[in-house]
Amino acid sequence: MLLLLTYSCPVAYAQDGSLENLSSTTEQNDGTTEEQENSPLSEQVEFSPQERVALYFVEQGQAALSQKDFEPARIFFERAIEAAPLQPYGYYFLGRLAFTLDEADQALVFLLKAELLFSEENDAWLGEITCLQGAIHEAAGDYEDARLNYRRCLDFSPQSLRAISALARLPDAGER
Amino acid sequence: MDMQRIFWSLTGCIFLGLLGTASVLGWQFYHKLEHEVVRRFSDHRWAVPSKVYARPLLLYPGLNIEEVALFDQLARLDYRQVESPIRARGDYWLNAKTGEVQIFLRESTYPGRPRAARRILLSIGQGRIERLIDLDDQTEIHAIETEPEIITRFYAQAWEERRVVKLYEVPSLLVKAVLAAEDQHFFEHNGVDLWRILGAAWANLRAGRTVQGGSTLTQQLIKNFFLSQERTLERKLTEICMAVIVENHYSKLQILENYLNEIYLGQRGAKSLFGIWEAARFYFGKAPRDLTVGEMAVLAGMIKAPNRYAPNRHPERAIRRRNHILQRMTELGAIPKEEAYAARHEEVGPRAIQPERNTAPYFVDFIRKELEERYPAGTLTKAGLNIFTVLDMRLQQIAREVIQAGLTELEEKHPRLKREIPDERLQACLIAIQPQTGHILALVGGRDYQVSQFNRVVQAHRQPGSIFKPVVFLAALERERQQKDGWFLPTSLVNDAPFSWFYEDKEWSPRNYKNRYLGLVSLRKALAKSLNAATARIAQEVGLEPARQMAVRLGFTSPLPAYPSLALGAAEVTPFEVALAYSTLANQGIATLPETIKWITSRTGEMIEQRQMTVEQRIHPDDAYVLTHLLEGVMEQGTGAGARRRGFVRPAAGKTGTTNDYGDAWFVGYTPDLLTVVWVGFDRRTSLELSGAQAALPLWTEFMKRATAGTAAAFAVPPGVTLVAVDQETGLRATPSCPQAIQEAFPKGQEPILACPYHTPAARPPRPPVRTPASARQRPAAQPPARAAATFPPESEQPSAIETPAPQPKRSKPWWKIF
Repeated sequence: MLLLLTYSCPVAYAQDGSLENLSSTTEQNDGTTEEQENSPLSEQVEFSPQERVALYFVEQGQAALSQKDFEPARIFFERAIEAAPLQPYGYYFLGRLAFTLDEADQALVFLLKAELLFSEENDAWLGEITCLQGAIHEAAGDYEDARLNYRRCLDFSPQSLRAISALARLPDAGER
Repeated sequence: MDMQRIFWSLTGCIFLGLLGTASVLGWQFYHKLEHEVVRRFSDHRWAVPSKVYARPLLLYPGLNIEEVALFDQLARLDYRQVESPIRARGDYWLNAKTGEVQIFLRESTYPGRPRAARRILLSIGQGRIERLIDLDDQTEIHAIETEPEIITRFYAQAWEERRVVKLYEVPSLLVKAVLAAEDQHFFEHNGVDLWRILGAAWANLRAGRTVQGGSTLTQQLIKNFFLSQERTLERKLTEICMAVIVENHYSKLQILENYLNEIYLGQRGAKSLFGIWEAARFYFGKAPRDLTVGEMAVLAGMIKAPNRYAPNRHPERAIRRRNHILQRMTELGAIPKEEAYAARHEEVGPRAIQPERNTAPYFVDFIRKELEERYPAGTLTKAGLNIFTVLDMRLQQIAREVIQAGLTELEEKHPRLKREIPDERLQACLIAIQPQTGHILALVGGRDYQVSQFNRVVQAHRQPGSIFKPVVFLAALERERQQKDGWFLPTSLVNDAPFSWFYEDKEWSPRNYKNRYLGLVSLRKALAKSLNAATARIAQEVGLEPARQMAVRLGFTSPLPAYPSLALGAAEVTPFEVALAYSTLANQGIATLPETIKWITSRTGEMIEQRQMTVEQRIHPDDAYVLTHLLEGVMEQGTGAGARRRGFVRPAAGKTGTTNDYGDAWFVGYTPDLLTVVWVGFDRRTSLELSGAQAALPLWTEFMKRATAGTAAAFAVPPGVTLVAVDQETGLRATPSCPQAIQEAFPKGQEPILACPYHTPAARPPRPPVRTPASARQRPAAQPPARAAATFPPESEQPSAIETPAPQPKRSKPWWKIF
C-alpha cells in the first residue's frame, strides 16, 4: 500500500478517468522516475490506524477509478475521508473523479482541500494538484487561471512535462 | 292423472328454473368472487415498515475495541457469544486463552459495499486489534465492517415486524416441519381437505369443544389475507370457495411462500412478529437457513398458538410441542429417527435479547420529516425501505448519557433550576458533525423524548449570544485580507470602552458584563474574553451588512435583521445553523452539505437514492484558519478554558455563548475532525443565571473527551498563513526577554517585522514557555502535546448586552493602534 502511494502518486490524467502512470512519460535518463525522486512518501512515515485504513480505501478507489468504475471509486474515496478526514489523498482523488465526471466546481474545491492538507514539503503532490487545477481551468476555457496554476505546478515540479507543454499550448493573454 | 302430470311437470320446470337461476347466480357469484380474490391476491402487498440504520462499525488493525465498545455493538446486533469455535452466522467466540476473538459476520447488504457472510479472527493486544484475518481463506484483511445496526423502524398504526423472504431462502426441512404441523396433505388437495375437515369435526365432537382445526394452509392464508377471525358458517363457506379459487390460479409454491411470510408468530413487546424470518431472528437470533432441526420444529409448532408455545415464555410447552412435531416429521419420513432423537435433546429456552429501543428519536424524527416531504404517504410505513444513515451509535449513546447526566448535575448543583412539571424542566440539546463530510454523527434534541418531542437542534430558534461574535471577527479578517491595512490583524488593538452606535435615527450602546471595560485590547483578547464593546466596535468598523452577509455565507438561514445588536447575537437561530456555520470554519472555509441519510434502497435492495459529498468554498482558508487560531485562544485562556480544567487536552477551538438575560447557554467547539454544539436552557426562556461556560461547556467537554478518545490531530496551517512568536503585550515579534510570548497567526506578508523593544535584557524576568495553540504542521502525535498553563485565570463570559444604556460620547479619536 505504501508502495502504491510512493510510486504512483503523480499520475497523468485524462478526462476519461484513466490513470496513466506518470512514470511512462517522465522516465529519466538514469532509469529513475521523477516521482521516485520527489515522492515525499518514499520516506518512512508513521501512520495512525485510521490513516492506514484510509490509505487502503484510497488504494481500492484508485483501482476502481482505473477500471472506470466511478461510483465504487467515489464510495471508496469518501470512506477514506470518513476514516481519516485530515488525510489529503481522498480529496485529491475525489477531485480527479469530479473532473472526470465534468463537475469542475466540485473538483476545484476537493483539490483545494487536498492542497491545504498537504504540507509544503510535499512538492510532488502539490505539483500534481496544481497541474490538475490548471487542466480544469483550461478545460473550462479559463486560460488565465490555467496558466497561473501550471506555473504553480512548475514551482513544485520544475520538470513537469504536462505543465510545460500546457503552458506552451495555452494561448497568450493577448490572443484571447 | 293429467293433473298429477301437470303438477310434476310444473314442479320439474320450476325446479329446473330455480336450479338454472341458482346456477346462473352461483356462477355469477363465483365469477365475481374469483375476480375479486385474484385481484386482491395479486395486488397483495405486505405492509413492511421501513428500517433506519446507523453507520456500520469499521474494524481494522489498530482499532481500540474498548473505545468502540465492540462487544456491546455485537450484542446490539444480536450476535451470540459461544463457548467454542464459531459455527453459525451470528456467533462470536472470545478465546480466553489466546485473547483472540472469532466472529461469524452475517452477510451485509450495505449499499456500495455488500459483503457475504464471513468468519473473521481478531487478534487482540493491549485492547487493540493487532491483526484481522479472514478465517475462510486464511488471509489478512485491512478492514471489514459489521452489518449496520437498526436504529428504528417506521411503523403504521399496527406495529408489525415482517421481513419478506423468497421460498428458496427457507430451508426445505423447515417447510416440511410446517407442513407436518399444519397441513401434511398440502401438495395433494385442491385447497380443501375433506378428510381433514371430517377428522377435525369428529375430534371436536368427541371432545365437546374445538380441539382441532380442519383448515388447510390455503384456507389459513385466505383467512389471514381477506377474512375476519369470526367463526360462522358463512365465513367458512366463503373461505372454502376462495381457497379453491386461489388453488386454481396460483401454484402450490406461490401459496406456500405467501403463507410463510404471512403467519403470525408471536410478540416482541408491542410489536407483532409476522413471517418465518422475523420469528427465526427473534426467537433464535438466526436466519431461517441457520436453524437447527429442533429450532425448525419449535417454530412450526408455534403456528398453532404462537404465544402459548413461545420458547422464550413457555419453554416446557414449546419442548412438548416441538417433540410432537418431530414425531410427525419422522412418521411422514421427513427426517430419520436418529435426527429427530438428536433434535429432541436440543436446549430450548429464553435467550438474552437486547431490548430494542430507539436511541436516536430526535434524529429519526428529523429524517422522517424530510422523507415524508418527498415520498408518497404510507411509503415509509409500508414499502419496507432501507434507510442507511450516517449516525454513529457510539457517539449518539455518549451524547444521550452526557445530556442526561449533565442536566442532572446542573440541577443538583443549582437547585433553583429544578422544576416539578416534566415539560418545564431544564433542557439541553447537542449536535455533533464531522465537518469534512458533513455527516451528522450524533443528535439529541432534548432531555426526554417521551416528555417532549420538540427537537431543539432544528426547531428551537434562540439568541446565539456571543457565539455569533466570531462571525463579526471573520468579516473583519476578510476585510483585512482584502485591504491589508493592518486594522484587523489578531494583534491589532481595539478600544473596549463604552460608546454609542447611531443607526436609523436610533442609538445603541453596547455594555460589557458588570460594566467593566478593558480599554485597548488585541483582537485575540477581545474574542477570548468575549468583550461586547470591543466586538461592537469591530462590527461598526466592518459594517453590519458585511457581517450579516458573512453569516449567510456561513450557513445561517434564519432572518438576520441588520441591527447593531446582531453583532452580539441578538438574532434568533437554531443550534443546527450554528453547527453548520462553525463546520465551515472547522473545514478550512469549505462548506460540506450536511448529511443524515447516505443511501435508501427498496425492500429488495434496489438503489432508490444515494447522496454524495457536496462541497463549496465559502470562506477563504486563511481567514478560516486565523479565526480558528483565535478561537483556540478562547480554549486556552478565554471563556472556554474550563474545558482544559476539566481535562480536555486535545487541540480545539471554541466559543461560549450567553444571552443577556441568561436564558440561553451555548458552547460550540471543534477539534480538526469533530464539531459539537451544546445548548442549555428552558423552553420558556426563564433565566438560568448561568453562563455558557457554566452550563453548556461542561456537557460539551464531557462529550468531546469521550468522543475524541484515540484521536489527536492539530489544525492544519494553510500556506497563506504564517505563525510568528509575538509578545502578547505589544504584539511585536517576541524576543527572548519578552515575558508573555505567544504564537500568533498572520496572513503571510503581514506578520510584524519589528522586534519587541519594551522588554530589555536588563529587566529580563524568567522567560515563560511559549504558548502554542496546538496548530502545527507535523503529523498527529500519538499523545496530545503538553500545553503550558494559562497565564491568567479564565474569566466568566460576558453575556451579550443588547439593552441600550445611557448614551456615551462619540469617539473623537481613532481607537486602533495598528502594528
